[in-house]
Amino acid sequence: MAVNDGIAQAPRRSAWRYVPVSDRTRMLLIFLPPAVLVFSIFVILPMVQAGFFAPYKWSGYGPAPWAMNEATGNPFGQWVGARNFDRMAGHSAFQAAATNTAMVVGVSLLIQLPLALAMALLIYRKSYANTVFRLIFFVPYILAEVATGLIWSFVLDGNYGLSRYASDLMGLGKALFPLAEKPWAFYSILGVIVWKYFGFHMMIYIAGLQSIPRELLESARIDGAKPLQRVIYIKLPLLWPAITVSVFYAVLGGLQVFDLVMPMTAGGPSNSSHTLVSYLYIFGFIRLDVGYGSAVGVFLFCVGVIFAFAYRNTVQREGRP
Amino acid sequence: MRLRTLTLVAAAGLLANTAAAETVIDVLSINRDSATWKQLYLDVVEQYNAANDGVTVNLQFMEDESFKQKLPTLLQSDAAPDLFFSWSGGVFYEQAEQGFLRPIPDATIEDWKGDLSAGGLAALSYKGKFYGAPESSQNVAIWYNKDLAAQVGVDPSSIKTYDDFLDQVTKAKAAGVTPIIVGGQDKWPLHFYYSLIAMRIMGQDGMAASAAGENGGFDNEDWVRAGVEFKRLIDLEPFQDGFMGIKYDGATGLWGDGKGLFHLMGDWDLGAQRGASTSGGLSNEQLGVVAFPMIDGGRGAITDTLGGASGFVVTANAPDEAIDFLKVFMGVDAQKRAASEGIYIPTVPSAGSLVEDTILKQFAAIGGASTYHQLFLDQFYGSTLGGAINDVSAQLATGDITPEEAAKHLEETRQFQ
Repeated sequence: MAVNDGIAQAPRRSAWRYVPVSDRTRMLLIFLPPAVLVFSIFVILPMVQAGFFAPYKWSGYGPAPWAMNEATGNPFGQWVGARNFDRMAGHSAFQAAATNTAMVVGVSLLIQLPLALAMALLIYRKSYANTVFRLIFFVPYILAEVATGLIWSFVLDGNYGLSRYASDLMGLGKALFPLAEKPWAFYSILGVIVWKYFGFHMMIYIAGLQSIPRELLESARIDGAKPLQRVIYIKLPLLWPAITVSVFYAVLGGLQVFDLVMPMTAGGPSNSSHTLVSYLYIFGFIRLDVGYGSAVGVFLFCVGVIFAFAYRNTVQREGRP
Repeated sequence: MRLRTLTLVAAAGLLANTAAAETVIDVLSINRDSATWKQLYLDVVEQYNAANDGVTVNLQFMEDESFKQKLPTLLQSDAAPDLFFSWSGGVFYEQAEQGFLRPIPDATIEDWKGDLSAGGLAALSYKGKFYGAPESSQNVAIWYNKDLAAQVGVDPSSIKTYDDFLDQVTKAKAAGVTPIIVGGQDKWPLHFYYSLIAMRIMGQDGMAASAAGENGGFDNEDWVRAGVEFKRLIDLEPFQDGFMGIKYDGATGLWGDGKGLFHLMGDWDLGAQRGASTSGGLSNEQLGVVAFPMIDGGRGAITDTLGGASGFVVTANAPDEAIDFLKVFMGVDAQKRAASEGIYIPTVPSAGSLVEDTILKQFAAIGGASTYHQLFLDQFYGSTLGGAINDVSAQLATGDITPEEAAKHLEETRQFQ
């Protein structure tokens, strides 16, 4: 408003003076184009491209699968229609990857978030000890994903890792190799995901809990509400907006897990611990099948978009005043 | 007026510069971690630059993985190198198919065949055209640890048949020695078993027929039998604990630390196990090498070899000078030096006898006596089918797939290509 007044009082010689638009439009004209440009080039364009690449068999050489290769007189790629999607649906490794991704989302929602909430309720009050705990729980989140994966792959290694010492201590006689055994490899990844990300959600909840007016809790206590009742009837309802945000992040983050998988198991043993993204990377890029990778990307995109729209229009809409 | 004169002078100067400009040959190699190998490259380049006025060779190194990832983009850009390193195989075929490589003139190839390895040149050819010059060749064989063999009481050098091998694996197991070390997480170390068993069973003709889709492609009794024979080994539980959770680097470290009796691996493992081990690795005296054994009733030969062939290839827009330099770079003198210094096993026939290292010498002999050299299947069949071979090798090893399912899956993948 102050800016508005300033212009009204002392009009300066600005080109904008001649543009018959409101301040709001002016702001949009200045700030929107760079954002739209960057977003279009780096987000929208690759998404749309993936959509166009998906019905081709294409190794990734050449600017596009339909582009003419002057050296050979043929296009770089070959139109295969829905074949990439057919193959995806029938590929056992893809089914495993999709199941695993669903498990990541499930574990995030059913174990990670309740754990984060419990921790937040325990340590949200401001005190020296709580600050220390908060820091300890938050540190895994700060670690780079690849570094985390490498550290855990060393820890869980039965030849030289902590796993060896743990098995020796327990007197097992035989070292444990969780990353080499079928169900355990992916369970280990799930464990690391919970360990790494619950601190992030805990911080969201702590911020939410700290913003709950103290008077409300005080009056509830005076009215005789027990601690558990205060949590259920006051803290949780007031925390609801924070919970919806953290669920949103947990689901979308779960769909994108990749950097932990590669150093820990690289999708193995026998392609049993892939997530959708690591599957896309190995079978699309490493094996030079960009058309197929694009098809997987399109699938992943659709899942993400459907979730995001559904969530925004149901859960998060209810949360709004 | 003055301005125009100046412009003319400047333009003339520019033209003169262009005329006198040197031809620059950009060469892109993967990292040569071995100091002697790198020095060999640098020396060859320096000598060539000194001897050839008007030509400057510009050599660059790039780490293996980033090399693989950047190359497709790089080849399509103006910054494409003139010569670059190639492992041959499927990726190379794709580059040739898409016209990113320059065929070397037939007359030049005829000339080169006098000095360079004909087999190596063939590995860098596609549809009758030759695109590069071979450098080193790799062969896979069974390594054994002599100390552990003595402890178990077996003589691996006597292994002739697959049953002999399985017998020694059983004996090692009974003696409490881990029979075989393998880096299963990488999958390709496991695919050596499946590949060699298949080669022994069906021989060169059978392998070629599978690739061409004849006789059911991969879905035939030979490939099923290869899976069955591989399963016989797997059922003995021959590998170290947790073998699916460890990559090649880690596994060869265990091997170098003397943790197992056998290791099916290529000649490069000699240096690799020493680098990765915590104890300095196994000495030449502790190591033995024996060819992968023959399988009863197989149509292959024990002298058929599985391995790699690598070299440098020429890109589409490279100048003629690049081809000239390639001949020197991969030439007889350079390879002879590589052989006598024990840098790699050369492909040039006249350099083979110069290998002095007692172990590399055995590999050179295996390569020299080869009746049919099969490129690593995961490279030979291209990235998709090759990757599928790695996948089913790992799945057979973990018991997640039957030999029949493996053969069927390979054929489905082949048809998809």
